[in-house]
Amino acid sequence: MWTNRAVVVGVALTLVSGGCAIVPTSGSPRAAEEDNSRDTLSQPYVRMIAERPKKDASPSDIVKGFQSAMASFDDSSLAIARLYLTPDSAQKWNPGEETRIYEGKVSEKAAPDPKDRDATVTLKGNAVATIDPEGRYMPTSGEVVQTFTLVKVETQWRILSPPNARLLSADDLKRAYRKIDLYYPPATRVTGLVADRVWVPIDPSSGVPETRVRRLLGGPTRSIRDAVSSAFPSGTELNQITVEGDTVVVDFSPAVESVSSDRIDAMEAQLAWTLRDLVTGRTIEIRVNGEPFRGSGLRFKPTDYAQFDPDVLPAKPQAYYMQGGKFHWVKDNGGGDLVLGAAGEQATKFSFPAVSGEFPARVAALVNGNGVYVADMAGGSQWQRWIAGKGLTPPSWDRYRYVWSAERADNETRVWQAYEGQARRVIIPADLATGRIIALRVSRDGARIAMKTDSGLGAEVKIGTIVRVGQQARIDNVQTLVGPDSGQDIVDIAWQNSAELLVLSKGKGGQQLAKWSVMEGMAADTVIRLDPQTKIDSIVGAPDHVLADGDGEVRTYSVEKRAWTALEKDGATTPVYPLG
Amino acid sequence: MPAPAKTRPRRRTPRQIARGVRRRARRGVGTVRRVWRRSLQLRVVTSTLVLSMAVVAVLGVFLMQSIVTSVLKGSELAALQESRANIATASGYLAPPLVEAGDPSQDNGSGGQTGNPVEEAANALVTRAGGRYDVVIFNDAGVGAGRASGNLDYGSVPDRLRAKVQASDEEGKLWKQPCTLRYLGKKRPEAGIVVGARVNGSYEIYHLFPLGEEERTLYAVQRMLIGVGVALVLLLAAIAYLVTRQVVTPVRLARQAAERLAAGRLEERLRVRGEDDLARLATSFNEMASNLAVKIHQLEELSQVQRQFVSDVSHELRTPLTTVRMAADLLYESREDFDAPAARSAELMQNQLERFESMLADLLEISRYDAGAATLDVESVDMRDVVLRAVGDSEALAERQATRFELRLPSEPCMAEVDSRRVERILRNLLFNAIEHGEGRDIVVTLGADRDAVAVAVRDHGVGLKPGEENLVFDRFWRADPSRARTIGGTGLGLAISREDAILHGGWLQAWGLPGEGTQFRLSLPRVAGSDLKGSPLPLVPPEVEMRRTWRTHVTPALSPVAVAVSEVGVRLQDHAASDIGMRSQESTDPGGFNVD
Repeated sequence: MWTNRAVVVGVALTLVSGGCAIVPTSGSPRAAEEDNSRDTLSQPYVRMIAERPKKDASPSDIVKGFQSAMASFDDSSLAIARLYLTPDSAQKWNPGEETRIYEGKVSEKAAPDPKDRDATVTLKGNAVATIDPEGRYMPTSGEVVQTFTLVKVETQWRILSPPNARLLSADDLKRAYRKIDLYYPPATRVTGLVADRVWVPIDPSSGVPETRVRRLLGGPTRSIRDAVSSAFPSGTELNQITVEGDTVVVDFSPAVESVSSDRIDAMEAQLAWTLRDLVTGRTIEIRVNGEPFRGSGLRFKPTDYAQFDPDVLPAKPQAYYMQGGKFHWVKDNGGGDLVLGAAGEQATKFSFPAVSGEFPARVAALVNGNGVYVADMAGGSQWQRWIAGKGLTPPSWDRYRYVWSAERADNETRVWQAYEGQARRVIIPADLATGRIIALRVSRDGARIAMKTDSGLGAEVKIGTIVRVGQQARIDNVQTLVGPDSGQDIVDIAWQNSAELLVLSKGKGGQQLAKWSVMEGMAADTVIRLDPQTKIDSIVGAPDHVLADGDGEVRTYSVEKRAWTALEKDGATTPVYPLG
Repeated sequence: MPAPAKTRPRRRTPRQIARGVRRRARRGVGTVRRVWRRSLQLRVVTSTLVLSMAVVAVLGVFLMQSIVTSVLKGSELAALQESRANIATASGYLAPPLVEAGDPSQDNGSGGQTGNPVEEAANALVTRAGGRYDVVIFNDAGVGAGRASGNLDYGSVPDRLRAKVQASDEEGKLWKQPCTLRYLGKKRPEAGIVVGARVNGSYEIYHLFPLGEEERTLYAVQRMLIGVGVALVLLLAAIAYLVTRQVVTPVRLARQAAERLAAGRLEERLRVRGEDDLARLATSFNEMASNLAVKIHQLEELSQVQRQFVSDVSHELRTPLTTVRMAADLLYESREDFDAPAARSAELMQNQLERFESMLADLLEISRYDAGAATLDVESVDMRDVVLRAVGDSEALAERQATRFELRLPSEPCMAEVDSRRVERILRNLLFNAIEHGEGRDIVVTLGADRDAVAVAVRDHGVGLKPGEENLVFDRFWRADPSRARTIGGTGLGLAISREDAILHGGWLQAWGLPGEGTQFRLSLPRVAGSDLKGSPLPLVPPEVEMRRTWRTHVTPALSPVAVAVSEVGVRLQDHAASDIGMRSQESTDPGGFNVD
């Protein structure tokens, strides 16, 4: 009887415990949900720990310690770095003027004699770049020889009068700085954004996202300051950025509420694009000192602001090419067809076509050698002359439906922009006017212009900012991107996206296609390999797309495969993407 | 609910207020204690509450501790594993063959790709951490070799741990310590654990794992546990309340029914529902009630029959007695003609006949009381006259016993609405009684009066009463010492009748006595007929005895006020019941009620 009962109890216990297992051992299969909980906002980064000068350190150790203390951004006053200086220098030293990036090392001629009153330590290396207080990156070259004089302060070596700059190694730059694309709406109040790339140190107390938004509120750099206008009211300050579930809450000071209601969209777009990769898949909410924006709240999804894309083009832009003197468009499934209108007809010979960004698009081309003509891509359209002149450069459309071209006439270079047949002269700085403009391309965001120029020393690439006042335009702030001393012959230029310019050049080693970051003035690391046998005449770019012609083919470059494939053969030339 | 002391309009001193507060507190405590003592339900619910609270608290603490241990253990294990893997990685980066370590600026001079090892190690660790934890690298031997990740304040690494790690004799040995992780900027500090190790000479690598998530989880669990515990305790209390109500309500009903039954409502019955123990209790109660009712009926009938019998016997005895009396008178008057023994017999017969007659009269009187047929003939009289008349009636007897009276009468008239015949009879009875038991010593008769009442006390200095005899003296045919003969020839009913008379007036008749101290009887009557008597103008205990007693602080239990009050209540209750039923039930303790023959 007793054993019977024990067996029953045992079986019941087993059943109960088996049925109530905490971790389920079976169940129905289900699709796993994507984990959005990972905090993309908190980007990991490494900081330098600033150390106080060690006791009885050698002069070179003092200089090294000073360098590493400068590389620490924990304290904006650099109190620890100043400990390496003589008290007098520590007061005078102003590292905020400039940041110099170099690659080099500290060399000490000889160990100082203990009796010596002073010592010298030299830093030798190559200059890499300078970063101005605005965050603008300017590549520099040449040798750097920085001499530090050290004197004894109460038996300890200290640096006397260091340069008024922050000296950082390339490693320090990589560690402490982040490249940020800031986005500002153009001053023309058109729906769209203009990118502005800056390098800023990460503020460890606030993290990457807050550093970005603070810099965004700080305003655009000098180079495009006149071409854009931030939608954020001046005086707006960021309180903090927090994550609440799926929402990124950006908390501003009350000044943000003074934004005019037609600029709210632009303001949201600025935020969405500046925080773009940090907030993927999340909603952004703007708050004012923790309260909802204007009482009713302001929430939006970053993906809703795709039409503000500074690259303007859709993800898969329509490509065109010339074949047999006629203009064709590339079909989705391969092959091509004639475009409608005058450009698709044999009647008139034309060259260097450019396609506008509107719909239906227009084609601008050099016709008859006496001007830039424009034809609608619609049946029965005719070529109409918009810009008259001989020796005009190939036309380029901007997003405002202006056709741009330049000419050399009467010993000066003139740049024209034409709208609906009306050509206007563009104001250009004097040094441009004296040189020759061989080709120009207006960026798709309409804020910059890339020019292949020659002022006698050889071809160079210059970048200017387009400032528009009413109908009038002005090219300003011209910077040299590729100098004449590069030893390369520049063949063609094309905008790939709003920040990068494709430069096709020819040197001793054959042709080379490089991507240049226009705002940093340096070539990107990714070099597009070219077939050395093929001679390429023209290139055209769009985000993630590059087309080139050569050997009677139009080819497209696949970034994944790092290889070219033919898009259209049989004498196809001159590939074109809209704008750019 | 007493109003708070402050709101009283009258201004009071702090002392008064304190006293008031104290009084109220005391009263409150008293109320609570009374409720506590009286309510079984409250006691059960409270003890359930207390016990379940204790059990839940113990269980909760135990549960919480085991949850905390397991959660933290898991995190710590994961942290240690991660740290171990990371330190292996880092020691690969920081391996000595590379250029002398800890020199960020020196290695890049050649432009080669050999990066700074610390930089690479830090980057590798931080990438692997991915923000889940923070890494701090120290190297006191090198310059500029310190790295920290994220916005961690590297001062969070405790100095004691650093000392241990630096002194660690084995490379890669992990040291851990709980600590507070502080951050630069606005992020709040949180709890965490630091795991550190010494690597490749003087490098110290610390991993700081935040345990804020675990802390929050544990807080949530704790809150949940507390909530569940409170809910459980309240639930248990509610269950105890409901369950005890199931038991207590019938018990309460039974108590009320029993009370009503005790109050004489014999038709009271309980409702029987179901067949459980309570239903059976109700059934038994009902059976008991009906049996009692039947028995009481029977007893009532019996006692009525008995009373009727006594009354009838007394009446019936009267007729032959009259004849016997007449014959005896005849014989007594001519006793001188008889010879001595016959004359003596005639005298004896005469005496005993007189006693027999008065006994019969008393029996008739008392049966009238029992039948509720006694009525008062109230008039306003001066009590002094009544006392004097009674004393005068007793004087002859007193002289025979060589006893003197000491009268203490007030000088003013002392008017009261009484039936003077009955009061005189009471006093006479008391005086006879005092003479009989006074052993020849003085008898003090005191008359006292106040606004509402008058009282007469008769004090003798005889043998006194034993404790407990104060009430027995009023029983019918009770005798203090059965061996003692009735010298004066009282009927044994005098005091019983006197008490009935007193009750009829709405007054009290009480006795006090101590062995060797004598006895005092006190008759207290209201001045106005029909009004309630609240107190007596004279003390029951003679003042001189009271003084002596307080001196010795010796209290006779029977004389304590409570006992007196109880006896008074008993008297009243009896009175009340008599009027209710309309017929007086014979006291069953009276064995001599029928010793008439």
